[in-house]
Amino acid sequence: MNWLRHLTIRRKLMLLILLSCGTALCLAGAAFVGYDFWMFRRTMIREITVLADVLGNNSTAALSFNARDTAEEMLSALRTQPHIVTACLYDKNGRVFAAYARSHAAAHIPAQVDNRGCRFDSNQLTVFRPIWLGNKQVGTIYLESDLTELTQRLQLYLIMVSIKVLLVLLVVLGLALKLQGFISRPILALTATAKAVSEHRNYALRTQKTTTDELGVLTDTFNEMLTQIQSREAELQRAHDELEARVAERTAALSKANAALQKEVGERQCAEAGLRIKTEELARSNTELEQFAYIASHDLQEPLRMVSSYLQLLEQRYAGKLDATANEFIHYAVDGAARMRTLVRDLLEYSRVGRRKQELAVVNCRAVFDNILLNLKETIADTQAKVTAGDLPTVRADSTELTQLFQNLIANAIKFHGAQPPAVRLTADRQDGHWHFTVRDNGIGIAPEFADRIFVIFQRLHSRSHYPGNGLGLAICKKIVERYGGRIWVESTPGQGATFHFTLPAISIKDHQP
Amino acid sequence: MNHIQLMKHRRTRGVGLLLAGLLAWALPGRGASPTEYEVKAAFLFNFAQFIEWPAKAFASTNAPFVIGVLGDDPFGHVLNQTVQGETLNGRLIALKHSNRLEELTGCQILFVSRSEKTRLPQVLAAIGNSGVLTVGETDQFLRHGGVINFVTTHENKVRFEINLSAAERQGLKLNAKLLKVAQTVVAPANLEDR
Repeated sequence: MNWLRHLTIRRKLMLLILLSCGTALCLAGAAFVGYDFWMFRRTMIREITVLADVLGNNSTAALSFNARDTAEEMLSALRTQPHIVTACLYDKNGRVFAAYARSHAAAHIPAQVDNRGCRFDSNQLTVFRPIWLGNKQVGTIYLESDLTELTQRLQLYLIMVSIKVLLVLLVVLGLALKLQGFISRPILALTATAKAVSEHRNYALRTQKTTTDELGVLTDTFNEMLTQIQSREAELQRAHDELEARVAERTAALSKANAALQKEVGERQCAEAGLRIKTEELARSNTELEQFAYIASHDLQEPLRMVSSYLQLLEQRYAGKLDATANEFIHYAVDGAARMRTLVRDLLEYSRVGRRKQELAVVNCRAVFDNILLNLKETIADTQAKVTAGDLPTVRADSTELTQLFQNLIANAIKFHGAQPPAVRLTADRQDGHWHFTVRDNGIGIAPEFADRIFVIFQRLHSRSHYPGNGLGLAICKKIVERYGGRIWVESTPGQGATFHFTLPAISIKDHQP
Repeated sequence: MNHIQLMKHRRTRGVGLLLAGLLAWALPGRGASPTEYEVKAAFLFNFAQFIEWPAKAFASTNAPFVIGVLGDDPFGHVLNQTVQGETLNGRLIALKHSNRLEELTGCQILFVSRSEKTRLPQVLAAIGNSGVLTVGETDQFLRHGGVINFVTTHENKVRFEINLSAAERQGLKLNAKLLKVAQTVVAPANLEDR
């Protein structure tokens, strides 16, 4: 019965009505046919009994006077009763007196008289009736009727009842189609409204109330519910609108602030652009300056060499031929020329940093250090200095520049020694992404306020008479370190030595394995 | 009457006769066939059951029903056996036998024996119209005013013929069924023809 649940309510109502009516009609029809069948059987029995009695009564004389031909003639009148198959008269001794058969084939005449009266068999009705004359039985009559009439009547009745049932069902169908609407229409209206409400979220819809029964109450309740939902929905909408207004307000304030911020960012970008232009200008002027320094120092070398050469010639050729003052002047001039040569050479050196277009190579710092010890052998020997180094790495750099860097720092450390002989130590340790080098000495140290000035070109803290030099060494160092993206600084306490720090980028494994 | 109509259908008589013949042949008879007078005795009694007598025929309401035999008695004790213990409409049955008509007054049925053949007219005239069923067994019995006459067919079967006019004269009401089984029913006109 699961399919029954999926039927629409209209179908269910129709089915209900039709099933009830159909069942009632069929039962009534069956009862009708059954009753009629039973009644007809009774009628048949009565009729055949009456017929037998009439025939029996009419044959009393024939039986009494042994008039067999008369009896047979009388029986043959049964032709008019086609349902009588066989008829037979027995005399008072039970012997066959006269017989009748509708056809030869159907003839079946019981040899014995049977006093059982009427009997229905599967396809025949038989009757034995005694024949009385006065108070004496003069014989017996036997009749056999076929049941064709009964069967035909039953068939006819069944057909008629079936047609009747069908016709009535048709009428019922029509009625049911009309009447089921009383129940299904309000329900369908409710369903349609509920569906529309749920689909379109339109809580203003209402169902038309058509009845005052339970369905009417249901409709009212449903409508009332919709009203409540509608008012709630309106409240919700109001709250929602308020919230949206507030959000819009906040958004406006935020966008205003954002616009201000944008403006500021724009201004800042403007300023940055200006700064960049300035920086570029500065870099260009710096480059031009370096270019100038290079060209100047390079071009100065030639006249300086000439001045220096001729001054040396003058000193050699006229030694002892001029007076003491002249000799002293010539000596000053030679000395000045020599210092100028050093100065020009150093200047050229400074401006050359980063100009060499050499490819960077993997350089072993230990080898560089050993080479420096060889270069500074005389100075070390003179000052009895002690120069050592820890474990040194390999870095990617220009070896000439690296030598210059290390040598300047070590030479400086030796130069600015104190009372005791200088002790200089070069170490390196790995920090993330770069090598941190330190050059520590036990010299005179530097006051903190000069810590930045010492890296500026031509800046000197001491007179040349105390410590020789032209103020270019540390400037060159700074330039080399910065060229490799590193940093250089000093930590020192006057009188207690100084420590120079600088960083160089570490090389990757790939670079390590050329 | 229904049965009169039934009798008119003679078309299928042959079939019935054939069947009856077959059955009669197939079913052996019970003992010997009845004799002529056994049949006639039974018929005499049976006539009484299909005929209504006028009240004047009886001396009183409880008078017996009398069957008389005139002339030589051909029945012997057969007639006595036939009516033994029977009643007719509550009346006892009495038998009388005489050669003299005077001794047979008050009979309801009077059987006129073959021996009286010669004096039939006198006998029947003497009986008059006193409500007596006269039964004979001679050719001229009906012609002389007898009511019923026994005839023997060539098959040696006993049948009877009826004089309807004589019956009316005697005031007897004959049942139509009786007329049906009679071999011949004659009216006075018919009698003249013969």
